[in-house]
Amino acid sequence: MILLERIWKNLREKGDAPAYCCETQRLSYRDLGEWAGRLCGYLQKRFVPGVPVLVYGHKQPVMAAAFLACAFGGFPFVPVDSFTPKERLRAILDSARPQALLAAEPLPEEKIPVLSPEVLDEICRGKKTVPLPYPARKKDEFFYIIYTSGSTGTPKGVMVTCENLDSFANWMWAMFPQKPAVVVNQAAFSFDLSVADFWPALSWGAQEYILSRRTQRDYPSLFSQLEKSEGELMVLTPSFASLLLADQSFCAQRFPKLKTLFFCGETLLPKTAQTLLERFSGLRILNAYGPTECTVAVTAAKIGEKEAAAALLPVGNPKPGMEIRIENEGRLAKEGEEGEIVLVGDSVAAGYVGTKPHATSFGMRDGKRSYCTGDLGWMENGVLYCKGRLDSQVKIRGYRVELQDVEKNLLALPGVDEAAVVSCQDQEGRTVRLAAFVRLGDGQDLTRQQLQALLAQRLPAYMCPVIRIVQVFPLNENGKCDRKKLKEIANGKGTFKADPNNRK
Amino acid sequence: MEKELLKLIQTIGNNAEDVSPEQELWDTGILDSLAFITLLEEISVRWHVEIQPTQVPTERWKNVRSITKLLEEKLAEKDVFI
Repeated sequence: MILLERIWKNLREKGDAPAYCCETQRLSYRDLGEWAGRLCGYLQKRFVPGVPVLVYGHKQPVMAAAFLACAFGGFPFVPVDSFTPKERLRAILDSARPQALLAAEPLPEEKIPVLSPEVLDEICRGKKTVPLPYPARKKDEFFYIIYTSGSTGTPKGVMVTCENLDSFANWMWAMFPQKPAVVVNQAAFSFDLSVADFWPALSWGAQEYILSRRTQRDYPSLFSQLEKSEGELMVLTPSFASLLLADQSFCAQRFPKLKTLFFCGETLLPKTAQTLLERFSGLRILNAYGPTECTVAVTAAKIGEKEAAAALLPVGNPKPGMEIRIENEGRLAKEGEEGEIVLVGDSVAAGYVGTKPHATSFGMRDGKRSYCTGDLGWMENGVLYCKGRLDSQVKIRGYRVELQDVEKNLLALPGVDEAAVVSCQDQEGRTVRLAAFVRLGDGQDLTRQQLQALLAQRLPAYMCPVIRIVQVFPLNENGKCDRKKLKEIANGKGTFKADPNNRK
Repeated sequence: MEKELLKLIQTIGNNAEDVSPEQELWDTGILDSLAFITLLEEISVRWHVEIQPTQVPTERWKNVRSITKLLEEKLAEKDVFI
C-alpha cells in the first residue's frame, strides 16, 4: 500500500521533524514511529488482524499512534470522537463488534478489552523499541470504518478499503506537487474530512497541526495557534471558514504562509469564496465533493474570481479512477440535465457493516463499484455541479445528518408518539439548526427541557434539534404530515398553536 | 440593552427561549459557531459596532450579562449614545 510505504519511510527518516501537534503536546516523527511501533507490536501479539479495533478520544497524540498501529498491523480501525454520547457509542460497538477499544479518554468497563489512557501511555512510552512492520496490506482489506448518520436511527459503518485510500492519496499527491510543510486539521477523527489532512500530512513528512475543540471555541487562542502553526494547507468545512472570516485579521497579512484551503463536507457559498480571495490574494481554494461512502471526496474544483462570481460554485472534475454519472429514473441524463449523482470507480467503499450491498445505495455499473449518492446535480463540460439532496439528509456545519435518524431517536423517548424534524436555513441558505415537532401520548407530561436532556444522551450535540411540543401535526391533502408547513413554521414563515408544555 | 440582547440570543441561540442573563451560553450549547457569527452580524447591524472576536477574551462571551457589558464598553469607545 503506497500510502503506508511513504509514511513508513518518513517515520524512519524524519527524526526530530514535527509530525503531530495538538495544543501543547508534540510528537516528532521519531516519537510517533516509536509509539506506533510499540502499540502495533502489542496489538499483534494479542489480537487478530482483519477484525476491527475502535479508537476513542479527541485528537490526543496517542490516537495518531493508534491509527498508525492499526494501519500497519492490519486492523481496520473505527475512529470515534469523545463527543459521541454513550448510547450512540453503544450502537457503534454493537454494529462494528470490535475486538478491542483503544481509549485515549476514560471509558467505562466493556465486555471487550479496553486499553485505558494510562495503559496506552505505558505501552507507547515503553523501554523497548519495537520497529513498525513494513506495510503488507492487501487492496481489499478494510483500512477504516467510519460511522455516519443512518435513516433508521442507527449509525451505519462505511468500510473503506486500502485500495480506496491509496487512490485518494494518489489524487492528493497530484494536487500538491509542492508538498506543504504544515497541514492544519479542523475536523474530528470521526469524520472522514480529517482523512484529507491526517494521512497526506504524514505521507509528505509534514506536520499535522491539530485544532482541538477547546481551541476552536476560544477565538483569541484559535487565531494565535493558527498563526504559530504557519499552516500552508488547511482542510476545513465552509462553516469553519465563515467563523474565521468573522474576524478581520483572518487575512494574508496575519497568515502569510496559508496558501491552500481544501473544503469538503458542505456547500461552499460564492460569498465565502469571494471574501477569502479578497483577504488572501492568490489563495488556492479547492472545493471538493464526495460522500463518506466514496472515501472523503471524488471531485474538486479550483475556485478563482471567475468561479466565485457565479450563483453556484462547481465541485469540479472527477479524480482519476472515478466516473460521474447523472441518472434520471434509471437512464443517463443529458449534458446539463439534472439528476441523481452516481459515483463509479475505485474510491467507492466496500459497503456498510452488516448490510448486503444490494440492499443499499452501493451497487455495480459496468463491473465497477458504484454508489448512488442521493445528491442532485448536473454535469457541464466535464465539471460537476451539486444542487442539494433528493431526500431528507442535511449538512449542518459540515456534519451529515439524516433527519429520520433524529426522528427515530425522538420516537424512542418515553411518551413520544409522533415526531417530525426539519432543518432551518439562514439568509445565505446555510442549514443553521434542526427543529423538531413532537406530539406526546395521552397523559404524558414531559417538558421540552426533559425531552432535550433525554435526547442529548442519545445523539451528539450537532444532531439535537430545538424541540417544540405540539398537540397535532398539520396534514397535507394526502393525510400525511405536512413537512413543508412544518419547515415554514420552523423557519419563521408560519404560525402554529403551541402546547402549554412548551412554556415549562 | 441587556433586555434587547437577551431577546436576540433567544432568537438566534439553540433551545434558547428560556435563557436568563447569567446562564452559561457555550457549555449549554445555546451558542455555537454559527449562532456566534449571527450574533456578531446582528451586533454590527443593530448597534453599528464591529467586534473583532480575536480582540476579546473568551470569557466575555460567557453569558448575556457579560456580553452586554462588553457591548456597552465598545459603544462607549465609539461615543455612541443610545
